[in-house]
Amino acid sequence: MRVIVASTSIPHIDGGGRLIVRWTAEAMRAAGHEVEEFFLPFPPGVRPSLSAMVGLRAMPFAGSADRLVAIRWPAHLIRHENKATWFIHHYRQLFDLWHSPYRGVPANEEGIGYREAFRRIDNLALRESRDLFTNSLIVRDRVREYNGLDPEPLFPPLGGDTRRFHTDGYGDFIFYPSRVTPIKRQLLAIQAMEHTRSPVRLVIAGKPESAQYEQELRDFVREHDLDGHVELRFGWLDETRKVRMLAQCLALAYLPLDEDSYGYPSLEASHSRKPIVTLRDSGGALEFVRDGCEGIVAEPDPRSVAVAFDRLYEDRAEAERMGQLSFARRAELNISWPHVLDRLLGEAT
Amino acid sequence: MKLLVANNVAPFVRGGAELLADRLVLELGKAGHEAELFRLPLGSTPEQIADSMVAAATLDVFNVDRVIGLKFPAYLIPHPDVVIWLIHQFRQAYDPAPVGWPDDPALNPLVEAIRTADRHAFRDATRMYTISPMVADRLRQANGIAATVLMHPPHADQDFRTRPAEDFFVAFGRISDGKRQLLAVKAMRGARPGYRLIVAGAPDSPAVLAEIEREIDENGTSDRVELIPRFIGEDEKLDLVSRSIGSVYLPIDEDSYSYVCYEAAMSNKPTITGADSGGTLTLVDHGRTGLVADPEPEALAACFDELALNRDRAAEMGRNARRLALDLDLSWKRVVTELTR
Repeated sequence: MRVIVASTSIPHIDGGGRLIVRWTAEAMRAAGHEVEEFFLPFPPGVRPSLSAMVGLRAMPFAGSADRLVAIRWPAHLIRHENKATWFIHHYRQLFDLWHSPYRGVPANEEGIGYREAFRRIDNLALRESRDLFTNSLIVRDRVREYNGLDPEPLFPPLGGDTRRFHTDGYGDFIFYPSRVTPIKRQLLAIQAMEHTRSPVRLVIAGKPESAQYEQELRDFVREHDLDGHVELRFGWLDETRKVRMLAQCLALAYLPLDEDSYGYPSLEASHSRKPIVTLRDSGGALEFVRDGCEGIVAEPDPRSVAVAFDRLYEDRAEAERMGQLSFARRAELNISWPHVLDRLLGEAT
Repeated sequence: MKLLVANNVAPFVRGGAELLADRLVLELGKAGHEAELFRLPLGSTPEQIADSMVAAATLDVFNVDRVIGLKFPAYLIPHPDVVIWLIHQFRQAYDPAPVGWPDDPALNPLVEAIRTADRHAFRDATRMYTISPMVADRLRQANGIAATVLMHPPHADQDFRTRPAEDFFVAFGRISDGKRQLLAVKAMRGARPGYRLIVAGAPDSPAVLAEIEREIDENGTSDRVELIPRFIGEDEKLDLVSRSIGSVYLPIDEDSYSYVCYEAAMSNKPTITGADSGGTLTLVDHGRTGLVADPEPEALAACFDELALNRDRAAEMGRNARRLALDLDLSWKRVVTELTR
């Protein structure tokens, strides 16, 4: 089958939004399909979006493949006679972030005007999709709420050869690999280390998105004499090293605030048979982790996180048991490429 | 510099222009730039082509210092710094039929819109280059625009070789009406004995191949013409040309010097081309690096004979052809420097 996988991007920015496109295309190719990927430049901001949406709508993709799979917003506007939309998120500032400090659009008539225009545009493009999926239950619920449609959740698996992940015991450190940015709350993980009673260590790894947050983390470690307990590995973490640290760690920490989906770090932990420590308000991560099963769901507070870290350190057998459940959870949720391809490619396969 | 290389695309079709765009992005990256390729679908019907112009003209390319436009309508992207390296114009809107669209009241307004959009894009471009003298000539005639010729280097680094000539000519390229392999095959009817013609390439359609096979059958030239009707790999191709007397390449009005001519020249072989083959004349200088014939069987047969029966002269033309190819100075370094200065 000939498939076009289309998404939007900002040129020269290699966000996580590109991974899902590349991995999906790779998995389709491995299954014997002919696939072309399209990253269509799309500007940020509500005002430039409107005219750019006209351009996306005009792109003549109709007739040029058996199936078109639209991924990042607003690629679902592309016209194609057999379009599937895998909806990752709305224009969040106008919808789920409207009542948050991240809104960035005035809550006046103009802002509301944009919100209603975008809602109608989304409705049109989502409704005309032959099949409609979301990457999480949270996004499915949002589509129900904002667009009155009922999409099917379709959980994205990790791409590439996942046999690279393995398990090398349950060591003495909690590993938190992720972009370093306030919404991922690395600071909370570090603050927890003030309250741990066991010799458990914390390793934070990832690329800082702001120098200010990076400094804040460094300062906190220094000012609270946590050097021996917290290791900060800022910068790009190469894949081989990441895989090794996942294999050796005691557990993964993943503490985002109200995330859209379970996030790729959770899946990497699962492949490495490691438990996941997350928080009650972490959003999509809770679709994967149930408290006491695949890991521990703590309160968003340093003491509660510290208790979770200590518990895993002191009871390695329990850590290992949770690690096994974390591994099994993917099959339970049907997080697999054969299933994803089956659904994305529709009846014709 | 943050660069967006903008090309058009027909999904699932890959040819020379796609290879050229990929290599350009790679070379820009090697030179220390951030380069990304954007492929805008062109569509095939007039309605789709009108749509693709809208798509290009409403594209808002954020986080890009310069757009390098290669083809219509990708160079219509509104940006303060667009450098155009034109592979070819949208010839449907410029050339006489059958390459161009026929005079049709339903199509004429679109032709006018394309020409107007082109005129503005060419006028507003920071600089204009074309990949060949041929494309520059057309641009001057059709749009009154003077562009600098920046010839495209080959998209791959090849392992050229030269061997003594055996008793055959080669005719490469996709087997199609446009490349006129049939004409070369017909010429073999009147050719003197003592040599063969090898036609090798993927056929565009079963019909094109069937026509050539019928010609061979009907004229009893099966011992003179060998058909290899499939895509032939780099190594096989260079091996064949290296052992040939020379190469026959007869496209109609080609845009550029063509890789087929370049590969023959770099292998020290002369090329026989058509007087109406266009860009191939960049490398085929009649009597010095090859022969230029009227596009009809008798004239071609005479050229085949001339080279096949004068091997020393053919070999000398081959050496001249290589010198001419080297003189074109086809380096990616030069292309990158020009497009980013």
